Amino acid sequence: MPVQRVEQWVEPVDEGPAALSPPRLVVVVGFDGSESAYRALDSATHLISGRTGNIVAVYVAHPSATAELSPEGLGEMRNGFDALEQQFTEAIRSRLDLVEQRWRLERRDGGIAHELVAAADQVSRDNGTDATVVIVVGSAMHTYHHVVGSVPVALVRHAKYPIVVVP
Amino acid sequence: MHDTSASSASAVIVVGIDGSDTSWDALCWACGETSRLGGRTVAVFVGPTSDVTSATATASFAGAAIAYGAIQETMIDQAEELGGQARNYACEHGVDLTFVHTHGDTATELMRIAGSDCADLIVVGRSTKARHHLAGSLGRRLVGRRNAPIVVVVP
Repeated sequence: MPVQRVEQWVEPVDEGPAALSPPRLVVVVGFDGSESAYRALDSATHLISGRTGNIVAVYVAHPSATAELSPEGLGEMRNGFDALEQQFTEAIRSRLDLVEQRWRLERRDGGIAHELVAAADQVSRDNGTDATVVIVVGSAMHTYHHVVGSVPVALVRHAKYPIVVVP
Repeated sequence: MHDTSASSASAVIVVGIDGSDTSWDALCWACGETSRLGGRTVAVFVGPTSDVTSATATASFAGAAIAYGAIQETMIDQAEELGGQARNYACEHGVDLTFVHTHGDTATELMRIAGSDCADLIVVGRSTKARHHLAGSLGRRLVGRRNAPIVVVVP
């Protein structure tokens, strides 16, 4: 049925028929290899099935405060992040291989919520106005919530994109 | 059979509406998803609690001059108007919509209705009162709950 409907929830002002050019849906998924991240990935797959669009899985390497102190620790951590990136690419590939091919993994460094929004901004710029950007995250992305605050909550507070939070 | 992957046959999408702009966006999203997945939308309007504490709070706030009944009547009118608008919108888009008017705490009520209808998705608009931060954002409270289904917060 009307795939174009998707445009209306983002630009409800434009109530007219949104059928001129079918909007692309780009789903930015926060991915950290956790259980809920996989569920977020599944949910993203669900969102773009039957639509034009693609999935951008974003892995944000978040340097922990203690490791930042020593240069050796930092180097070691970088290697760890690179290994993880490889591992995640494989993991997503094996998860989505049969279902969905329109995805890519992007690695970013920094604060998680901030980088996810930055990734969404980037995607939004790349695709122009005809694309709709949605951010999907798992609800418990990291165990150190109590230190840096929950990512979904931060996203809900700041982001200008629809946020899908998958438990 | 109520997990999201198996639900495409008949999805139940709960949307919280309160008449604000973002809540209409949320309704748009919900209707869009409903028509895409097939299923139905449950639009929920949560009015303020009708219990004594809230009545006294309102009364004291208004200088005890306004009768509580009058306030409640206005709320019911507002709810009916919202329900009508939501139904019209859903009708235009060929979506099966149920309108529910309840009282109580918004997050709790949304969760309750989502639970009893085995909802696959809860959609809420982003708080328009972000700067007030009086009662905290609904989206934040829903997102914080572990047992919630997928929550969408529309900006």
